[in-house]
Amino acid sequence: MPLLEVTDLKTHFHTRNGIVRAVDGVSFSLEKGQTVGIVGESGSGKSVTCYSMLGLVPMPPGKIEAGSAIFDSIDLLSCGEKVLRQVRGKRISMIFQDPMTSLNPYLRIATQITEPLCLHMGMGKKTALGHAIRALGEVGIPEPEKRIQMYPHEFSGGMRQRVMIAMALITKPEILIADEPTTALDVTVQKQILDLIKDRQQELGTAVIFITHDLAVISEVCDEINVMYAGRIVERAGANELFSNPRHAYTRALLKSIPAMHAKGEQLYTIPGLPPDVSQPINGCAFHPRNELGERSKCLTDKRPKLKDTGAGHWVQDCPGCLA
Amino acid sequence: MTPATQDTAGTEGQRDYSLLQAERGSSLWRDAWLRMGKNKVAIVSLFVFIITCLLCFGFAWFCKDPIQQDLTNKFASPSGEHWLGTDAMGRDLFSRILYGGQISILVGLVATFVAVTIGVTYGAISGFYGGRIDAIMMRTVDTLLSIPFLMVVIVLQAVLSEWSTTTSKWIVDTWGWNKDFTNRATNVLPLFFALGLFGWLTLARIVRAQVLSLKEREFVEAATSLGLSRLRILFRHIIPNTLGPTVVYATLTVPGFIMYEATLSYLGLGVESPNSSWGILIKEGANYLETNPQLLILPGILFSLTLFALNFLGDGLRDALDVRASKD
Repeated sequence: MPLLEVTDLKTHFHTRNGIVRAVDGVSFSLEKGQTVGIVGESGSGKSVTCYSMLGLVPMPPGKIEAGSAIFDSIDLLSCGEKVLRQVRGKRISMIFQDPMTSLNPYLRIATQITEPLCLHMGMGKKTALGHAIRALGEVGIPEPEKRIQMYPHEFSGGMRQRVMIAMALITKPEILIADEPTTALDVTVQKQILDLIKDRQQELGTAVIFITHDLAVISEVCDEINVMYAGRIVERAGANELFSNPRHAYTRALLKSIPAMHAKGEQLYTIPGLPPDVSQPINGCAFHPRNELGERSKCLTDKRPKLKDTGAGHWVQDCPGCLA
Repeated sequence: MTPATQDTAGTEGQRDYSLLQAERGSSLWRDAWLRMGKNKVAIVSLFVFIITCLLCFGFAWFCKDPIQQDLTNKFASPSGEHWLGTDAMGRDLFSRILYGGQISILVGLVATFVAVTIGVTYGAISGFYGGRIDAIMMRTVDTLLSIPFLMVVIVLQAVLSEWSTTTSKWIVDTWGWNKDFTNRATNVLPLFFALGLFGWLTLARIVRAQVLSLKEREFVEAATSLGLSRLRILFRHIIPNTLGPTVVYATLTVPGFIMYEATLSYLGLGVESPNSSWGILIKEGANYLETNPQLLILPGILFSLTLFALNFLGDGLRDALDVRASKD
C-alpha cells in the first residue's frame, strides 16, 4: 500500500469570474522514501494540489469538490481540522517557495523552530532547544547555538531556506512537501539546497513531493515525475524515462524549450499561446489550442482524455493528437 | 550636546549593535530602538516626558498639600515657601501643577492602555476570522463611531459622577482609606472609563486592516503547515506583527486623551475642583488672566511641553518602525 494515495482530487475556486478549476481530477501516489516531482507552468495547479492535502487552501473561495487523499488510512481531505492539525508539521510538513517571507520577522529562530517540537512531541523548552540546535547544525548552519538566538532578517535567503528545512524535518515527518523550494534562490545556492534535501531525505527516509517549474531541478532529485497542465496530470513517468522518451506533446514542448537544448545563438523555442482559462470548463484535451508538435486536428475536443498506462510505469493522457 | 559627545554616542551605539548581533541577535524592536536613538528630537522628547513623569509621580509626594487653602496668602508671588506662588485660594501652585500632572498623565496612559487592549483584541479577532463575524464586529464599530464622542462622555460622566461620590463614601466608611486619596481616585475613574470605552474604535480598525493583510502572508501559511492552532497563530504570530503601528498610534493617542481630559475638565465635566488636573488649572487660571496670568501660563507651559514631547516621540517611533517593511 502506498504511503499517500491521492485519487481524483478536484479543488475549485468560486470567484466572481466563475469557477476556477485549479485542480481538476488529479491522482497520484507516493511510496515510502520516494521522491515524486510535480512539474508544470505557473497556474497549472501544482501548489494547489499540495495545499489541498494539508488543508491550506483558503475556504471560501476554495472548495475541494471531490477526491480523496489517503495517508495512513486517514483521508486528509475529509478528516477535519483537528485530525489534520495532528498530521501537519508532525507527519507531513512543508517548505515554501520564498524563505524571505515564510519566517515570522518578529520572532527569534529559536522560538519558531521549537514550536513544532513543543506542540507535537510534548517537549519542554530546554529539550526542544537542544534538538533545534542539533537540527540547525545538520542543515549546515555554522555556530547553530549562536545563530538560533537571532532573527530571520539576520539570515541570508539560502540560510533561511536551510532553517525552513530544519524546521520542517525536525519532527521526522513521513512526507515532506517542497513547494518550489529553490525558485527564490540563486543558482549556486539552489544546488546546495537540493543536495541538502536529498541528504536529509536519505538519512530520515522521508518521502518527498517536489513541486517545481524548473526541469533541471526536477531531473536532479526526482524518482518519478508528474507533468501537470491546466489542473490535470498529462504525463507520468520515471525521471529517466520521461526525459529520454516524452510521449505527450506538452512534455515534448516543455523539454524542447529548455535553453540548454539549443545551440548558441539559435532562437529559443517557446510554446505558442497562453495557458487555458480554467474558469471555463474544458471538455476535450486541454493542450489542444497550443499543440504544435503533435497533430492538433486529431486532439480530442468532445471528451476528456484519460491517463493510460503505456508500460513500464509510463502513463500518458490518451489524446491521439498529443501522443507520439 | 557638543559634537564630541555626539560622536561618542554614535560609535557607542554602533558597538552596542554589533555586540548584540554577535550574542543574542537583534530583534526588529531593538533595531527600531537603535534607529530612534539617532533621532535627537525624539530622544529629547522622551527625556522631557520622563522628567515630567518623575516630577509628577515622584517629586510631588514631597511637595505641599495641593488642597490646603490659605486665604490670607492669595496670589502670592514665587518665594522659598511657594516656589511658583499661590492661586486664588492660597494653594501652592507648584504642587497643584504636579498633582494635576499625575491625573492628566494617568488619564492619558490608562485610557490608552484600555483602548489598546480592547482595540487590538477586537480588531485582530475581527480581521482574522473574517466573513460574517468581521461584518458584525465592524458594523458595531461604525455605529459606535457615529455617536458623538463628547456627548456620550458627558452623559456617562453625569451618570457616573454620582456613582463616584457614593462609592468614595462607601470605601472610606468600610475600608477606612484616606478620604482625600479616595475622592481623587473615584473622581477620575469615570473619566478613565469613558475615554477608554470609546478610544479603542479607531485602533480596532487599524489592527483589523493589518491583520487582514498579515493573515495572507506566507509565514502564517508556514505556521499552519506546522500544525499550529488558529488561536495560537493569531496571538503568537499575527498580533506581534501588528504591534509596530499599534505602538505608534498609542503614543499619539496619549496626548489626545490628555487633551480630552483638559477639555472635559475645562467644561466642568471631568475632574472636579479642589482636585487638580491640568485642565482644572487652566480653567481656574483663565479666570484671572488679566490680573494674574501666571496661573494660566505656568500650568500651560508644562501641559504644552508634555503634549509636544509625546507627539514628537510618536513621530520618532513611527520613523523608526516604518523601516521594518524593507527589512523583512
